[in-house]
This record gives sequence, C-alpha cells and structure tokens, in this order.
Amino acid sequence: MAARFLEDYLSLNPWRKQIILSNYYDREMIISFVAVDHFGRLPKRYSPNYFSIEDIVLQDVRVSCKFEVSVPKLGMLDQSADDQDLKQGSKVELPFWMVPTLHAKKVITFEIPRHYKVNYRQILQADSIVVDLHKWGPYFYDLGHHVANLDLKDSIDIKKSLVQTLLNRLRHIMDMSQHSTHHETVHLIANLDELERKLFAVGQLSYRSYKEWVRRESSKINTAALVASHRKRKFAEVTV
Amino acid sequence: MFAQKGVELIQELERAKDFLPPFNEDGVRQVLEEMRALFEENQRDASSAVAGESEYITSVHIRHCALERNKRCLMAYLYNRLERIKEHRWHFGSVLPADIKANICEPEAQFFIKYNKSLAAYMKSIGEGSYSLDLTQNLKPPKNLYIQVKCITEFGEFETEDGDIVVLKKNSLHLLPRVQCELLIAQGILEHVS
Repeated sequence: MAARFLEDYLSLNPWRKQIILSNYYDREMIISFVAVDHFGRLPKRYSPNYFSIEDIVLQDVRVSCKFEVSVPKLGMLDQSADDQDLKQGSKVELPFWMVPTLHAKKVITFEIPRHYKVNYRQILQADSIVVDLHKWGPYFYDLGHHVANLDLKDSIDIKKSLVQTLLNRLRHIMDMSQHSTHHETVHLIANLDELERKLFAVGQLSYRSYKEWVRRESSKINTAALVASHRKRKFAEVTV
Repeated sequence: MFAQKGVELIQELERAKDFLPPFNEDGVRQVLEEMRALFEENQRDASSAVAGESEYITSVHIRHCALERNKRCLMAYLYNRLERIKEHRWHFGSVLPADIKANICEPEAQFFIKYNKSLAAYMKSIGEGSYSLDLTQNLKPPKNLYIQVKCITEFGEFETEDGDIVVLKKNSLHLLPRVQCELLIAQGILEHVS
C-alpha cells in the first residue's frame, strides 16, 4: 500500500478519484452543525471529511488504554518498559486515531476522556453557559462525537448531552455575536469551543455586513483579504 | 510514537491560516520513509502470521492503523495546499507574486498553470461570439460604470481598454471604468473612494 502511495505521489497522481471516494467518509448527521472554512464561507452541511485539517488535529489527543492481548515487537508503544514485546495488560497512552480500530477488534479497552464522563456531564447539565469549553478540549463537540460513535454503553447519553449543551449555549453565543464589534472579541470567545467560535464568527460577520449595508458601503470594492494579509506580512518583513 | 511527522505537517498548515507556507519537502519525505519502514515490517509480520504465528496479526493491525493515519496526513497536506493555491488564483489574478511562487513546489506550479488554463477555457466558453464572461469581474453588483479611485502604490503607466494611458502615481485620484480597476483594487494597487 505504501508502495502504491509512493508511486502515486511521485507520478503526481494522489488526487485519483477512487482513492478519494473510497476514503471519504460521511459522519451521520446527529448534531447538525455548521462550519466555516478559513475564508468565512458557510458550506451547506457539516461533515469533517478525509482531508479536514481540524479533524486530523483533534484526533491526536492521548487516551489511556489497556491492552487485552499481548502484542509482539511493539514494546516501543509502552515507554516505561523496555521489553521488545508489549505484554497483555500493559497500560499505554495511545493517540485517539488508533482507538476506533483497536477497540472494534477488542485489542484494547480504553478509558473515555474525562470530560465526557458522568460527573462532567452533570456539570454541563447544571449550567453549561459558565463552563470553559475551550479548556475542556478545544474541539469538545467534535471529539465527543467521535467518542460517542465508539459504541459504548454511555454513547446515547454523551450524544444527548452534547446536543443539549450546544442548544443551551447557542442563544448566548448568538446574542454576544450580534452585540460586539471586533475589538472586544478576545474576551468573549475565551471560553468557547472551536465550533462555537466559528458560529460566533459567522454571527459577527453577518452583523458587520448588515452595518455595512446600512452605511451604504456594501457596493464598495475592497482589497481581497488574502492580498491584504500578504501585504502586511511583506511590510513586516521589510521593516524588521 | 507513530505518525508524529504527519501531524506536524498538518499543524504547520493549521497555524498558517491565511497564507501558503513553503512546501515542506523534508517533512513529506520523512513521513514517506516512516511509511515504508512500517510497510516492510508489516510484510514480514504478515507472512509469519500466514505461516501460523497468529499473535502477529495484532501488530500488523496497529502498524496498518499508523500507515492509514500517515497516508491521511499526507493526502490532506497536499489537498489543502492545492485548495489554497486555487484561492490565490481568484484573489491575486493569473500571476502570483514572486514570494508566493517561491513557496510552491514544481508539481504545484504545474497544477496552477493547468488550473489557470481550464478556468480561462471555461470563461471563454460562456458568452456569445467574441464576448467572454470574466467570472472574476463584478463580484459585487455594480452601481456606476465609472468609479473614483485613489492610487495607493507607485504603479506606473496603465493602458485602459480604449487606448488611453493613465499614469498611476501614489496618492493620485482617477475616474476610471469600473470594469478595469476591479482587479487592481483587489490586488491592493488602487483604493475605491466613494
């Protein structure tokens, strides 16, 4: 497989259709989110695809796992032991992207990340608005979604709690985004999760374009944002 | 730990949200090397698993997982860079500034040229006769044919469609056809004064 991929890369053909199609997976639409790409447009639906940068980054969190079988030759996964083989029952911190496959094959049992456990869900139930979700993992909802999809006995509860949390907080977020200019934003979004920040940004953008329309500036042609930031960077380089 | 380098590539893109970082050839090569090593080990273990030592299957699974992850990182890296290059075409026009050009690698440059060509071919194909529709024009509904612009860089001579030559000096004001200055405004050479 690696050889094939290498071939594709060298012949500059990594965008072959069948690869893309076979690996493109759609998540079920349990929580109907919206997401914005880095130019502020709104795609019609939210589904982190195979190429999603965020989805790749968020799956890099560590989860503590316990091996149910012994694994030969992979002793390097457990940094505290210097055996060549990984023994049955050894506890290892694995990145999250390994968990779904190994969990399905019953190779490991794992502890769900603590922010999705019962006591944390109770905190969210009590008052979700004051919780600092950014501290709970910058991608609280997305990771929670992955965790809940692992077919655990808590899955349903986790999903319900995620939806309820977003519902509770959304009104407040929307409210803030409609009444703030870009100067005060930093404090407001400090305790928002990445998804909520996107929603906030969308709200703020719509408010700003409404203001622009009121001032009759909407037909004015502006320098493209990409070009403007390119210039700023160039300018900074010159002055340094 | 597996697949560290791959994630580093992705994080590099994530940090550079609004520009194109230089193509990290070294990083890509390291990921490919890791993949090759994993693949070879897997081949060895898979053949011994076939020979009857069934406990090797788990190791194969774990390594395969890492392979898939590495592959996803590389593909996402290449794909997202291409998306950004496409975005650049719409904002900077068909010629990229030199410092951006320095950040893209040879195959990406070829992609840019091809993208340019197919975009031009498409724009030519719509519209009747000798008229073609420039999709990058009139992104906002026009209200006047002429607009007042202020030049914010030292640009030099600019020839309008009807053959007049306008000297665009810094801080000079001009009344120009909207069609012709839209791109210059997007590129930050002129400023729309209303």
